[in-house]
Amino acid sequence: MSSESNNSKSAGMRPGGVAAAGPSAAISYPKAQEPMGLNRLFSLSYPVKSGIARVALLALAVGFEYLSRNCDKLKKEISTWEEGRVFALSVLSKGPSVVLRKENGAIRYIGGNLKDSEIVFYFKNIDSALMLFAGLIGAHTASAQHRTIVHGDIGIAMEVLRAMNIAQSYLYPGIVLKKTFKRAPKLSFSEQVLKAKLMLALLPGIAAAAKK
Amino acid sequence: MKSDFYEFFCPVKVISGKQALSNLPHEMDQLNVKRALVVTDKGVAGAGLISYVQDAFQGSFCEIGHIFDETPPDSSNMVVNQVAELFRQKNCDCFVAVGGGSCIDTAKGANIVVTEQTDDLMKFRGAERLKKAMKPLLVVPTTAGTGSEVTLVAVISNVQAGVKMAFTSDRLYPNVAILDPKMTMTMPPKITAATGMDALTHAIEAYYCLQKNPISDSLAITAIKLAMGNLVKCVENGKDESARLAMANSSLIAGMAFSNSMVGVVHALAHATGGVCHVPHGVANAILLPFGMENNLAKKACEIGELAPYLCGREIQGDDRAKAGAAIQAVRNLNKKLNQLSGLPNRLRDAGVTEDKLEAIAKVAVNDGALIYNPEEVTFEEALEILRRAF
Ligand SMILES: NC(=O)c1ccc[n+]([C@@H]2O[C@H](COP(=O)([O-])OP(=O)(O)OC[C@H]3O[C@@H](n4cnc5c(N)ncnc54)[C@H](O)[C@@H]3O)[C@@H](O)[C@H]2O)c1
Ligand SMILES: [Fe+2]
Repeated sequence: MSSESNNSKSAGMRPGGVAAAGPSAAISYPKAQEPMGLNRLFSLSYPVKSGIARVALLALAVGFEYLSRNCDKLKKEISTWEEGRVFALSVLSKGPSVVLRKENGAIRYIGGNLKDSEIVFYFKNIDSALMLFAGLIGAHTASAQHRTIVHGDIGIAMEVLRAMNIAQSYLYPGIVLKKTFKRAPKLSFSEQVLKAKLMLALLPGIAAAAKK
Repeated sequence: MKSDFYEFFCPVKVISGKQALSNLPHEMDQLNVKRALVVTDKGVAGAGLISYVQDAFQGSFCEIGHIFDETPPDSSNMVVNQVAELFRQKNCDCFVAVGGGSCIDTAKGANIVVTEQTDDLMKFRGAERLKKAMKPLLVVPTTAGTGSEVTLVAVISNVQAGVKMAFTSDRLYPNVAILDPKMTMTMPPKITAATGMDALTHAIEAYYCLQKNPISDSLAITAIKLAMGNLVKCVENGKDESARLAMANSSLIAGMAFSNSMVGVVHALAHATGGVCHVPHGVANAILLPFGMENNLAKKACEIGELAPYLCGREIQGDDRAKAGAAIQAVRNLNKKLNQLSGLPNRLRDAGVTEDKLEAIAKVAVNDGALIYNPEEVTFEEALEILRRAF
């Protein structure tokens, strides 16, 4: 205790712990710790993070399109939706967006203009979006932690969320699903095959979607 | 007490105690408003409570611009639009809600319509989409249940669709909440029991749902202690002033807790039961609460078990499961007691729900936003199963 107070005196500290101004006040503060593992994502520059978020959103959009034509579970989930339903995911304030519409019974990616969206899921900032895309948190945790907000009818948003969960179950590895879903989905053999086919279709799909 | 990340907000000034209502004009003055639109309902007005409010204005420069006493149970989007129109016509500058959740939420909804200068509340459905500063809202609750006087939520019926809509925004918090025991003393025993169980449900769900945090945890426990110590007393003797004030506080504190940790499957099912079969919110919650707690046992036995001493009034021996089981049994015992004292229904069939409606309720429930915050996943089939057990 006494040595601490001596130190603070010699470092020009006031009793409250605030460094006094003047040349004798040079204190060496410990450096902020370098982020480790996936946390490095968050120390990237904004344009890089925004680019990653855009690719992740496009992957979700492409996955949605593909699965709405090929996955029975998703087909059933969206069968009760009205034709023309438009929903979107967007990163506030200047981040990327993807807008999807139900057309001819399937989901179609229609670009990034939010104007006609009935439901928009907003990420409050780019880091919150990356946490979800990197599989660090699930959609319900993002909601519970106020990292996302919904504009539009909550009932419709719940329907879209269920569909989005189905799409995500084909986009993430099982280990991530175990961590991020309330109840991790179990894919049958034929669903695993569908997942593999989706993975093959993903890259060209993202490249095509990026041109829209 | 796991809380990796949380937000907590409650900007409401609380005034609680005997004759607290007399402070209403002073609080209006502090908010720089003078002319109130009082939003109430026929039951509250019929109980003579609006005359207390009128008395409170005597000797002040503030006045009542108009009294709207046509609020229906669970409010409605149409009535909200109508109240907003009255606010403009009568040149009012603030809302004073005097009533239960139905009146408070009507005032919140009308405030959205007035502030956003729209003609239709429905355009503002969703979360966190209100940006403009709202008109001041002062609340005098006359039930002890919803806690709406300190929450960011307005629950309003969409009459055409038969669903209850939730609007949430930090802007929806009232400015002032006034708890005066004389305002709840006229509540009949059955409404006292039902609304009290709503408060208890808020506290219990807040304690184990996904947004729980250290602040909401302490509020939830205080609310549970107050409810367990006073709800039965209020039902047995409605004139017990100190029990009434304690229940008003329990409801308010539970409201602060759940506004920041949200509620789960019990509320999702209760909202749907209210929307489809018009069962009063508190009645539906009371019936469904033990079943909702059971639904979360696999994931939240520890948290539910932590509530056992407060719900049972004594320490419970054993592991988490044993403690959680005792907590759930304590809720069932309380329901039984309230049934004996006031006729509060203990099964959905006794609350006017018919078996053929259960599927429709489950269908609405899985689209209720509260389900997001329930720790356990709940599918349509599981929601239906809970309803069948509660039937
Ligand atoms: N906004 C929120 O945070 C929130 C939270 C929970 C519930 N709610 C909503 O609130 C509504 C229910 O509110 P509630 O349970 O307070 O009931 P309520 O407002 O519908 O009132 C129930 C009945 O009690 C009567 N009453 C109220 N106070 C009385 C008194 N002191 N003396 C005599 N009669 C009295 C009313 O006239 C009415 O007939 C539901 O729509 C529910 O969804 C909102
Ligand atoms: Fe409630």
